[in-house]
Parts: sequence; structure tokens; C-alpha cells
Amino acid sequence: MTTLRTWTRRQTSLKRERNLQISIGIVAVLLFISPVIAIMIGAFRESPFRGGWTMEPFVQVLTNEWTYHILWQTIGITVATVIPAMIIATFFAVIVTRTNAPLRWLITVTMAILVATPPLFYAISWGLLGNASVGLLNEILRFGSTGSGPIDIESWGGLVAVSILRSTGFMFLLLIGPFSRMDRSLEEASRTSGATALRSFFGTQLPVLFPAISGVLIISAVATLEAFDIPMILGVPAGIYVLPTEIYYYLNSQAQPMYSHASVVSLILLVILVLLLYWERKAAGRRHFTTVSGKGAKSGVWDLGPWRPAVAAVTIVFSVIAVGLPLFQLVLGSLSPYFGATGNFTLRNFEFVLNDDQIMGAFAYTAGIAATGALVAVVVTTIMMWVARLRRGWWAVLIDSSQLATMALPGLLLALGILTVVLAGPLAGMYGTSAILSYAMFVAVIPLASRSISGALAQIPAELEEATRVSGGSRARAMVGVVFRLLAPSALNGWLLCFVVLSGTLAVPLLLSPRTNTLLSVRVFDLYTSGSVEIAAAVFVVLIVEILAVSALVWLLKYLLTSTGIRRRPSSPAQPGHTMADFDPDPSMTRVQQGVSS
Amino acid sequence: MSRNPRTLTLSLIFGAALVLTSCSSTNAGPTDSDTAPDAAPGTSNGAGSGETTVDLSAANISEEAAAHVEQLYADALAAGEDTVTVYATPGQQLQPLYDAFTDMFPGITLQAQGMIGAPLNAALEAEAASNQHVADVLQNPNGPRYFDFVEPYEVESYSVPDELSDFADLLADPDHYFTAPYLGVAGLGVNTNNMDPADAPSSWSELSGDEWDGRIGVHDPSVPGVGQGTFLQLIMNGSWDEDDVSAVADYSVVKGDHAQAVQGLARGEYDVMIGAPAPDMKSMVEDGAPVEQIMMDEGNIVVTYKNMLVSGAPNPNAAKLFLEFQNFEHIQQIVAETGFTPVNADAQPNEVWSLEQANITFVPDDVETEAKTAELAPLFVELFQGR
Repeated sequence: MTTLRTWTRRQTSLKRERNLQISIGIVAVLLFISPVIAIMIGAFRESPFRGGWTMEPFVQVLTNEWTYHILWQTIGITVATVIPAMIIATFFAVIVTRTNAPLRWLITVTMAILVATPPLFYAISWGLLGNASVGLLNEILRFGSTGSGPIDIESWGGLVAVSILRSTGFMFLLLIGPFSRMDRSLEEASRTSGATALRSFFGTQLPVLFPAISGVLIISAVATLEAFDIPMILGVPAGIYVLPTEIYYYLNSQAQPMYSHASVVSLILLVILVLLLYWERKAAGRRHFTTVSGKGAKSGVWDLGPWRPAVAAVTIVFSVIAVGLPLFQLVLGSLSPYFGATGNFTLRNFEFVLNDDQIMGAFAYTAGIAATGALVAVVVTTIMMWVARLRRGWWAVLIDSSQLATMALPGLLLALGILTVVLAGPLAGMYGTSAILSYAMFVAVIPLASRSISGALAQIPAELEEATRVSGGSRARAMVGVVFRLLAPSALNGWLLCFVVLSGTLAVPLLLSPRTNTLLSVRVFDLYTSGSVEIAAAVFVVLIVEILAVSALVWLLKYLLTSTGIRRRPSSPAQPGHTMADFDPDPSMTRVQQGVSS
Repeated sequence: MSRNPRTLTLSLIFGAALVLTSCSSTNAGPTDSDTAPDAAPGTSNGAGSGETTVDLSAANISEEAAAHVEQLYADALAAGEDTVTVYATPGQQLQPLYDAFTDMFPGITLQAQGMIGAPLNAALEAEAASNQHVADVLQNPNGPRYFDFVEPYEVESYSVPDELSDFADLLADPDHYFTAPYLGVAGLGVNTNNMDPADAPSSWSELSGDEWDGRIGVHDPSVPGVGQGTFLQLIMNGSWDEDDVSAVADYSVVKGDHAQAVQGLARGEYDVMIGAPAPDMKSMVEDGAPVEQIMMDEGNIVVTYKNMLVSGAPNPNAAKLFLEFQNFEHIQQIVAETGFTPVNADAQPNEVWSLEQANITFVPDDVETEAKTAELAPLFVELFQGR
């Protein structure tokens, strides 16, 4: 009996990590994969709500030549967008975190505004700026004369250029956390061996950042594949149609929405996502990408020397093009009596917005839902990713990959998937409540939160936690005291990104929000579709101001969190319960903290 | 790490989270019954006072209908029905109508939610499946599409105008599933900076001439929406044949979004817009945009806005009250001011969107429209998407 008890205890303790992974994996499946499964099943049903089984939609969509035509068109736009955007985002992430370039604050602010501006209005602003006949840019370039061009934003080039700008901001905010955690000692070792600065960067720094970069690439690629607003505004006038347009067509055509046909198109996106994830894992292999260690990590900035003015110029040009011009157009529209007016500007749109109880109430309600949803998403994904790396295996892969599954469901299909799951289970009676909306919003941003955390987590070696355990700390203490603290900058960036996305998302609240509490996006949708575009623009200008204020708060929190490491206690003998983080014999640790303050 | 900065940081985070999450409980929606509106002149405040007398002198309805309305109001208040939720076509133009209802019937607030297409269908299905009903009234041009979700109710105050008696069944369902208290008409929008409205064509077929190349703006007819509905009607009412559609497709500047199409007209990107709805044009004119609405001699686009009682409506008496309310003559006059066309002949505005000036002689049949959509949608996709 004693032997049996000992054996059982040993087996349980040995399998504790696996049991934890199994538990979290089941939760992940229920939360994230169930809506995807619901839509996959829906591809073979006449309706997600009623009717029998059928293969007809599946066959019709996949045997339609047009499906493949727009699929390749969409993939082409995605490749042309994501690769340049990644290069630009990486460039600026390095500038902000690794150099002494001037105006680094401008880069961060620019990227924040880029992401904060809703894609629909970003596209509309560029549509107004770059319209071949009456666009503001063209009128300036033609010195006021009539005619066409030289810029035509409603074209392949215009569509890709605007998509690149938009994706750059998104990628930058995801990359900034991992880039700020880089240990410069790797580079110093390379330089000491005779490599040039560029060789060192490309040979040591970038490869170590592979998880972060690949994760961002995947999420951005899928986001671009699913993008609807920019192709609709800038692509349709040029005869460019994409997969999301096809989904829109299926959902809104005929006497009844063709849910099953739209679901089949989503299956195509799911296959692409799976292929991208498979490629990522193959490329990563079993390599480790840790950059944070218990030794004195070194950070510091590169002195750009004579290149500082040039980099500053590039920063200014990018900011003007990416944000300055469209924001100017958006503000102009918000001051216009009707959107597109060139005179008689007025503040009445802002007066209307600020005096409308419904709109101001929607601002408050949306901020609360977005903040809560973002916080829950970041906390949950951190815990899940931490559990996933306890032990390699299929459960770890499931936990990691499941958080990206919902990316394969664009907009309304995600809402429909969640709705189907809710109605099928014991939660049907909760339809129309804030609880269901909160769950849906949380699921919608989990992929973003996941990518914000995963790259940064990969940089933190398990040895740091083991050192804490060896010193007498519990696993929870190691997680909170070491991992969470090191993840804080990335977590805050992830929270901010999720907050911004949730503040502007439309499809999920359109279907699932309580009718008594309207989210801002739904209210703006009403204004936009009724022709009150100038009022909708005013709402979004106020929203951007709100997001900038929240971004400033996040920056302050990051500064406080990281600057608390500047003051440290004198070295003392190891005490039970203390962690390695309490001991810092290397003065350069202070520069590590300063390096993450951007 | 010093504890004081850490404490400050954690306090800051906690405080910010507390503020933001408390905002999520804010309910400033229009259903806030704590702010019951003041009683309209001539009425008494029914909320809490026990009196439900409503001044219907301006409604110009029969005595039986008036008595029915008063009974509905009394029943609604007695049942505690303080809200009417309307799933309507998106837009703010009918807000004066909704405000008038709240003013006329104190104690009952009207909340309109813009819902069309797949979100509307999914919401109705979900409410039926979960038995968590929210919608009381459904307001949509595609009435028969939603018959599974509505129940019959005979609106006593409704009457079909003589001018449209040939289309009575399309305005008031014989089985009482819907009534259409107003229409939406659309003609040709003209940018007055680019061209003189007097030079605008008087028939739709003139737009297929090559002199209009690059001067026409349309909402993409290859996807469901205002543009597709416009093109369908112009074919159904005989204004266009397939050759006309093909020519217009070649000459048009296509916009992916209806709002974008209207903006393009206002900015002068093109001279005319096919299927410019009267409410949109009216709003643009009031905002100072250089646009004008032209109605053709015949064949102008008509949309009937059908109002239906949702099955399982949580506020059935208040919902029926709203269905009756929209037919009052003085309310029809409010509708006329929004750019929509009331069916009441005595409430017609002196505007281009009136029944007479818009020369409304044709109302599309919904069943026929659905069939025509299935038949012609591939043509539109071929012409405008190039498939």
C-alpha cells in the first residue's frame, strides 16, 4: 500500500504539468475552437439555425472559378502588403528601441494613431485625398487645375499602399515589446568576433526574434486576408474584389443569407492559417529564442552619429504620409457641413457629439467593455502561454494554436459562430446580455493578445523560473514575480492594441450587444449609413483623442513599472523566498529598464 | 525594488481598471425610464397617474380606431410596457418620428436599432431560438422575407391612398402581416456645381448615351444594397433593358458603399447619381451640399417600408400602438418632412418626393423582386465585377 501510495504520488507529481496542460487545453477548445467548429459544421448545413445537411454549398463554392480568382487576388494583395509592412515596422521598432535617433516619440505616437483610426475612415480619408479627379492631393499637385491624377488611390497601387501603412502600425505595436527586451551582449559578442554592426544585427538579433516576427507576420497576413473596409472603399471602384467581399455577397444576397457558402469561404481562410502555423513551427524547430537571462543583461542604444538627421527626416515623412494627411482629412471632414466640403467649416458636428447622451453613453460603455475585454484577454493568454511552455507536446501546440483559430472567422462569421455555440448550450438564456458580449469581445481579440505575449515569452528562459523555485519560491511566485514582470511591457502593449481594436469592432457588437446598451461602433454605423458621415467623423476624432489619452496612460504605467528597477537594495546574502530578480550585481541592469521605456 | 513605487504603480493600475470597468455599467440608452419625457400638450402623463387620455384630434382617424389606440395605450401602461424596440433600416432620418411617439405617449420610449441583412436575420433567429425576445417591431422593405418571425396584426388606422389602390396588397398585406405607412423614393441626384439641373435627363434611358461616360455615379449593383435595388426596379418598371444596363455599367463610376456614392456626388466627382434617395438628398441640401434631386417623368424608384409586429414581442401593446401611430395624419406630416413619402394623401409635402411630383405609378412586388434578383444578379456581377 505504501509502495502504491508512493507510486501514485510520484506519477501525479510527475504528470502535474501535463494535467495542467490538459485542463487548460480543454478550456481553450471550449472557448476558442468551438465557434470555429460551429462555422465549419455550418458549411454543411442549410442554415446554422435550422434545416438539414447538404454538400451543395461546399461544392458550389469550391468548384466556382471566381472563388479561386479572388483567392489569388487576395493572397497577392496580402503578400504585397505584409512583407513591406514588416520591413518598415521592424525598421521603426529598431529605431525606437535600439538607437538614439531623434523624434522616437513621434514614431510611437504615429503608430498608435494608425491603429486607433478605424479602417473604414482611414480608407475613406485616403479615398478623399487621392481621388483622381477631386482628391485634395491631386488638386494641390495640379495647382488647382481640373483634370485627373497624378495620383489615383482607387487602384491596385493605392489599395496596397494604404494597406501597407495600416499594417505597419499594427505590426509595430506587436513588435515593440520583444524588441525592447533584446540583450545587447549577443551583439557585442558578435562585434568582438569581427562582424560589422549590420551583420551582427541580421545575424544575431533578428534570428533570435524569430518567434515574435513570425507570429506578427501570421496574424497580419490573416488580418489582411480578412480586411474588408479598405478593399471595399478603394478596391471596388477599380474592380478589385477580395474574399471578404465574397463573404459579404453571400451573407446579404438572395432571400435568405447564404451562411453555408460564407462558411465555406472561411474554411479556405482556416486552411491558410493552419498552413502558416505549420510553416512557423517547422521554421522554428526546436531552437530556443531566449534573450533574457539572470545575468546582467545589457541594453543600450546605438549611436547613429551623422545618420541622425536622415533618420529624423524619414520619421517625419512617414508620419506625415501615414497619419498626418489622413488625419487632416478626417478632421477636415468632421468640421464640414457635409463630408467632402471644402468650405463653411463648423464645430456643430462636435457640438452634436458632445451633447448627445446616447453617443457619450456609448463612449463610456465601450471604454469599459474594451478595457475589461482587453485585460481579460491579456491575462488569460499569458496564463495559457505559460502553461503551454511547461512541457512540449501536442497539448502545448493545441493551447498555443487554439488562440489563433478565431482569426479564420472574419467579422460577422465569428459573431455567428459564437452565437451558434451560445444557443446550443446552457447559455442560450443569456443571449442579449453584456456577459455574452464580453465573452465574444474577449474571443475576438485573443489572437492579438496571444501574439503580443508569445514572442516576448519565448525570450524568457525557463531557467529564470527554475532559479526562483530553487531559491524556495513557489511556481506561482515564479510566474508572477519573474515572468509577469518581464512580460509587463509586452502585456501593456498587447492590452492597448486589444483595447483599440475592441473600441472599433463592429460585427460582433452588431449581432451580440444588448439592445439597451449600444457600443460606439454600432452607433457610428448608424450615422455613417444614414449619410451623417461628418458626424461619424467627429465621433472618431474624439475616439482617437480618447485612445491617445489611454496610450499616454499606458506609457506612464510602463515607465513606472520599469523605472522602479533603478533603485535597488545593496547586495545581501541569499534569503529563502528571494528570487534572482532581487539581486543585481551588474549596474547595467538600469539600462535594461531604461531601454523599455519607449 | 522599493515597495513605494511598486505600490503606487499597482494602485494606479487598479484605479484605472476600476474607473474603466465601472464605465461598462453605464446605461445611457434611450430606454432609461428614469427620464420619462414631459407630457405633450393636450395629453396627460400616463406614467403613474392612471390617466391614458391622448389627444387624437390631429390624427384624423375613425372613432373606432381612436378608441382602439387609447385602449392599447392603457393596456401598455398597465402591463408595464415602457419601451418599444424597432429593428429598422439604418439611418437617423426618421428620428423625428420616433421622438414624436415618445412625446405623444408619455411613459413609453422608442428605441430604433439599425439592422438589415444577415445581422438582422441572425438576430431574429437567435431571439426565437433563445426565447430572449428584444424586437417589438420590424421595419424593413423586404417584408415577406421575415414572415417566419412576425405575426399578423390588423392596423385599424391604416388606409391605402387612392393613387396607389392598384397596389393595395403591396402596401397592406391581405393577411395583416405588414402595413407600409410611408415610401422611400429615389430619383437622379445632380451636382449643381458640375451641371445645370435643367440639363438633367427626363428619362432613365437617356443615361445610356455616350455623352454620360464618366459622369454617372452608382453604388455597386453587383452586391446587395441600394444600387442593386435601383437597377432591378429600373428593369422591372420598363425604364431599362439589358442594353441600357450594359451601357450604364460602362459609363459609371462605381462605389463600393452607398454613403460613398452619395459623398462622391456632393464632392463633384461625377455629375449625377442614379438612385439617389430623397432623405439623403434632403439632408445633403440642408447641409449646404451643391446637390439637387431630380425626379424623372416616370419610373422613379420606390421602396415600401413595411412595418410588422414581431412574434413574441416583449411589449406587444406598445408595439401595436406604434404601428397605429405612424398613420396619424399629423405624424404623416412629420414623416413628409424627413424626406420619406407618406401614404396619406392629405399629408403630402410640396417637395419632389411627394406622390404626385415623384409620379409614383408603380410599386414593386416583393415576390417578383426576389425572383428578378436571382435572375439578374449574375448579369450585374458580370457587368460590374467582370466575372
